[in-house]
Amino acid sequence: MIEIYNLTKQIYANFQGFGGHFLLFWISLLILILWNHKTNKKINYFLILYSALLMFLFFCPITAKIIMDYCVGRDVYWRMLWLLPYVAVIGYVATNIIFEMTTKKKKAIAFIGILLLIISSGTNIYSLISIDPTSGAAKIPNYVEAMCEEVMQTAEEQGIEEYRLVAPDNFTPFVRQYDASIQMPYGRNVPKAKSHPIHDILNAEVLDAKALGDAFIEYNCTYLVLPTDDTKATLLETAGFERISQIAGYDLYYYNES
Amino acid sequence: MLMAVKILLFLMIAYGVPYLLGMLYTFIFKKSEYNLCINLINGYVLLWAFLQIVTIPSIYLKIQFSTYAIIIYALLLIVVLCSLVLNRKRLVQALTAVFAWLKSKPWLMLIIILLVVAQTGYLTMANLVDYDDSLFVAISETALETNTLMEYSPYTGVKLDAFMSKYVLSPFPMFTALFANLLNIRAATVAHTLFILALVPLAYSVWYLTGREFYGKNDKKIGIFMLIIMCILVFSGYSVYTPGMFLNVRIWQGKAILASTLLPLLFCFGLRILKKEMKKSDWILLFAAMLSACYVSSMGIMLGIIMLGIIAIADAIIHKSLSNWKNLIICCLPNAFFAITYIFIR
Repeated sequence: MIEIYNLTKQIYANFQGFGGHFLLFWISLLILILWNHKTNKKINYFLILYSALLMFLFFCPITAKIIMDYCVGRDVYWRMLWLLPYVAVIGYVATNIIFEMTTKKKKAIAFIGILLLIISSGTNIYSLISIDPTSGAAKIPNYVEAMCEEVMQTAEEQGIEEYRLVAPDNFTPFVRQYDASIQMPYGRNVPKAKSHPIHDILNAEVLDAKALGDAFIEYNCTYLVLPTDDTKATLLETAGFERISQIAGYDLYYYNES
Repeated sequence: MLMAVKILLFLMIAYGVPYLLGMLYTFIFKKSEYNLCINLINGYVLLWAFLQIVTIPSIYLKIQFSTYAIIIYALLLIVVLCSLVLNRKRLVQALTAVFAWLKSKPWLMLIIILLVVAQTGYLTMANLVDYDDSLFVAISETALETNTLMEYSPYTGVKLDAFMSKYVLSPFPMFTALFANLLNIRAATVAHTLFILALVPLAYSVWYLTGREFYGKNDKKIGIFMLIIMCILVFSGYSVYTPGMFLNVRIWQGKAILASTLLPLLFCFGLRILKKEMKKSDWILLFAAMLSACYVSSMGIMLGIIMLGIIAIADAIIHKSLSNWKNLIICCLPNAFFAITYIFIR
């Protein structure tokens, strides 16, 4: 029970992060409780009651355990907080405060003050994202697009209809988003959810070219992509990997079984 | 040039089809609602509910993607044409209403629209990358490549022994694939660029609706409310878990639509239930919204029920009556069905 409660506290802390919006939410709820408005009493009660019920469900060890184990899963229990209407409550209370002001000037000051409060207690998402003018509409990294095109073209020239590509971890999430005709022995679920021998060989401290070649035969792989490295290229050539081209800082190898 | 034409075509379909679906709904239930936001929301809810009903059996019957796509396009075309014919007078009235609204110089609302357009434009050009797309976008791209519905692994391209139980009951990636197939472009382009153009404004439309639930047709209060909401959502970057982050950084994913659009919409229904303004047509829409929640994300299956459950308890306490419980239970039935199905297939 205590373990579950501590877990919910940690999840809540992670969700609210380093911002103050949740503090604004609790203050808004307090204002709603203290507010004795003749109009909108029902809405006030609803917002308070709904939030209280959700928080109870979230923190109560019994309900938390049931929801974690049988409903949503422990890893994503934090998504329960998507049900918390903190955005609506802050917006509703803030708007009502502004319109409580009697003059236009006071309303404007209240509005600007509240906006500044929200801004200063949050983090601008747009400061965390950027525009890349070289990126295409698919938003796949340029080096991945270039290599995928090279792989597909090479396969066509070699008359290979079905082929499997092995690539580093910075490629894996994007290759089959770009083109699903390129098969792979594993996806982003490796090593996150499970392991794969080829991934283990590629990420070992010292690259075992022969073991990689054997794994290529076992898992029916055709092409290999690695960061450009002449030393590795020489090593891989001894194990049957033929360096075909170099694109955007990466080497493309073709595994020739014979 | 060709891409510009495809963007235009996308906008026509992504706004036109749901709007006409929404207008058909208001025609059938004799509501005089022309508002773009409200009809768009209603239309998307009905569209996703319809897709959930059609897609799940199509997956289990192992229908080819091309056949499934033709069925969907044909059915939607029929419905859209019906709406155009039945609503021909109302569409003219809607256009007249827009001009009348513009004449009233609604500066606050125009500022909000401008801000939404600016946000949408920036996000469309932004370099947004999310690793979960290695599953979701790859599911769409794999469906197009293999001409099947979720029969092949998105990670490897190999045929699966069994459907992915966690994702098969929420086939939102097929929605991406339908657009990609229709416009003949990559699923990644649909997801990372085009969907933002429709789904970000849709999310803010739900907040407009929430404002209407709080303040009726008081546009000044709704306008101020929306500006504050926008500020909260834009400044939600203090944690990767917030609905604001999901809206701004990965709206094309089903779970982001759930967090930023459908759950706030369910909350709107909660307000309407509280105010005792629910009519039969609203309960039907709520039922469709619950189905939509199942469609976009497997989380929607359980979170939808939990939210409606809390609303039901709050409503019972406030009104000291269980009068709405029958309808609320009926609305939870789709989610309950998919939850039980998941237990059997996992």
